[in-house]
Amino acid sequence: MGIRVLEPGFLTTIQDKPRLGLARYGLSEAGPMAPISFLEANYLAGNPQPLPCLEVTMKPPRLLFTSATRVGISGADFGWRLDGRSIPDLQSIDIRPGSTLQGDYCRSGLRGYIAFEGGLQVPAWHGSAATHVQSGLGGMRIHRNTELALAQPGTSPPRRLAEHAYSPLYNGSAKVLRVVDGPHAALFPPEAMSLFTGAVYRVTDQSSRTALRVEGLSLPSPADPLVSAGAWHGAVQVPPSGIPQVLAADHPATGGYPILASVIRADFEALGQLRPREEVRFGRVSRETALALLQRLSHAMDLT
Amino acid sequence: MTKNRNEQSKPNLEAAIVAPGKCTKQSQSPAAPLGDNKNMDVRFISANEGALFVETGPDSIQRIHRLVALLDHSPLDGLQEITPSYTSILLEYDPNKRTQSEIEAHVRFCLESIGSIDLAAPQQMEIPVFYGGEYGPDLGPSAERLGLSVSQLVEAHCELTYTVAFFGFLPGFAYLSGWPSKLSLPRLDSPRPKVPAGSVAIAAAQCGIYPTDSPGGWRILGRTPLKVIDTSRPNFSLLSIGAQIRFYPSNPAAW
Repeated sequence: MGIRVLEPGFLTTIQDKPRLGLARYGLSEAGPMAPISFLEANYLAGNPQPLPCLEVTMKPPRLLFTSATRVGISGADFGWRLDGRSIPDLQSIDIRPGSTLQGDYCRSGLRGYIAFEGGLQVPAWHGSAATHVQSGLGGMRIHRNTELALAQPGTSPPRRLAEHAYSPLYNGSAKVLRVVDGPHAALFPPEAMSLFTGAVYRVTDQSSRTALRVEGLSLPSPADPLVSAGAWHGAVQVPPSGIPQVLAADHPATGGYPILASVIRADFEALGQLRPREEVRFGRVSRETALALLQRLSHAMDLT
Repeated sequence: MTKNRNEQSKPNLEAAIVAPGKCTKQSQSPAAPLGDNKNMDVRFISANEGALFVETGPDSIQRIHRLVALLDHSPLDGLQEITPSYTSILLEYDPNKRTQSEIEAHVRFCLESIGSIDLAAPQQMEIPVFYGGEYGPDLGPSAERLGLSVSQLVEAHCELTYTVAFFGFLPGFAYLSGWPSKLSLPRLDSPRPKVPAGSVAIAAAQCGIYPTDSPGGWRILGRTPLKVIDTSRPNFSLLSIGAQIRFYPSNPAAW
């Protein structure tokens, strides 16, 4: 008993905490693209530790519940409805068997999470059920008629949040991603960083869980090519075209493009919520600031 | 897990790595001499607020494999990913648990033992390949460019031993070092949209095996029937870092 998928949406995958330790075999960590919303949804579902849940992208799935459960929903605004009635934000939702959950094309943001009390009953692989979409390794992408198993309903009290921990930062009409200097920043011509942080880029529909792709100002590149080296979530690569791209959760484990900057971990949610055609600017901060922002966020997200 | 790093990892190191009777006294200098008489001088370069590169310089793949083995044998709470490549190791850590200077100190501590470890014997692997024809569309043209016959190129490819240097590009894609510069060819001018899984290919002084169907620009000499990745295996990859690889010609009828 659990859930039957009536419509899969644009891209709906099982996500879980990142799968660490396989980068040396070429497999990056996967996991939630919008980690704050992922934690909030799990909290509202009654899971003190995050458990396997659904990551919804752009267009939501339509789900038929065949057993009772409690869900938590957070992230992009999909106008969620249960049996045709709008559901309240920021609180646990109890669901009866036979109910249908659906929504609309996202109104703001890009990704949302539906978490279930006790988690989706899916096998973990190397400690996580996260789906690495590019390779199809781990977890799964859901399709029409996929059946998902749920845990027995628990007995924990329903939960509420006062507000969402994430709200976008703006500079004019553009959303802001904060960056620290990357390992190859000093190899670029000196003007590259100021051109990068001064420009307004536009997100393209080539963006995916692998990388955020943008269009806009072309940046000058280092004189000499680099040897391939490890890559990571947040790395801002500058390929020969000069158009930067930001690696995301399903990034290649190694890459040869120089890395000018790195989006700070505290802004991974903002990175995962950028939609095609939105404007984005990059703002440079110190490592100390990045660490302080992460610490503050980790404290705020200590929801248990 | 807030014990002092050295108290935590030193006994572990000695128990796990230095086999009794094989321990040779090493200098305590971070640049202890290695078997190959090259100093293990490293440079740390910050990658972000929770990651850094340990750069080991050119031609250091064996030293990189040794350092990875040392880091594995001396696990540090909060160190999350270890990604080796040709000349560096990327270390990602939880910055709520560790500082960059703690990670650097741990690496220096591991380096003190780098000359004294006995690495586990590398994996040995013989890999069958269907050379040429539909399985290796670039075999003929590559041989022609190198001024060899097809059988000479196959022979050259099979008489060498390759080392798995590191993985990247795709999950389970092993970069094999050992293909000689004199037989190097550049990548194809335009990559193929689909290279079949198992394709054995060369580019520059490297050889590789495509783990899954994917776009690719390397020159395809043949195809192996072995499954390069399989999620039922403990670590999903047929090969591991440092593995010694040889290829041999086979044909579909034998499989």
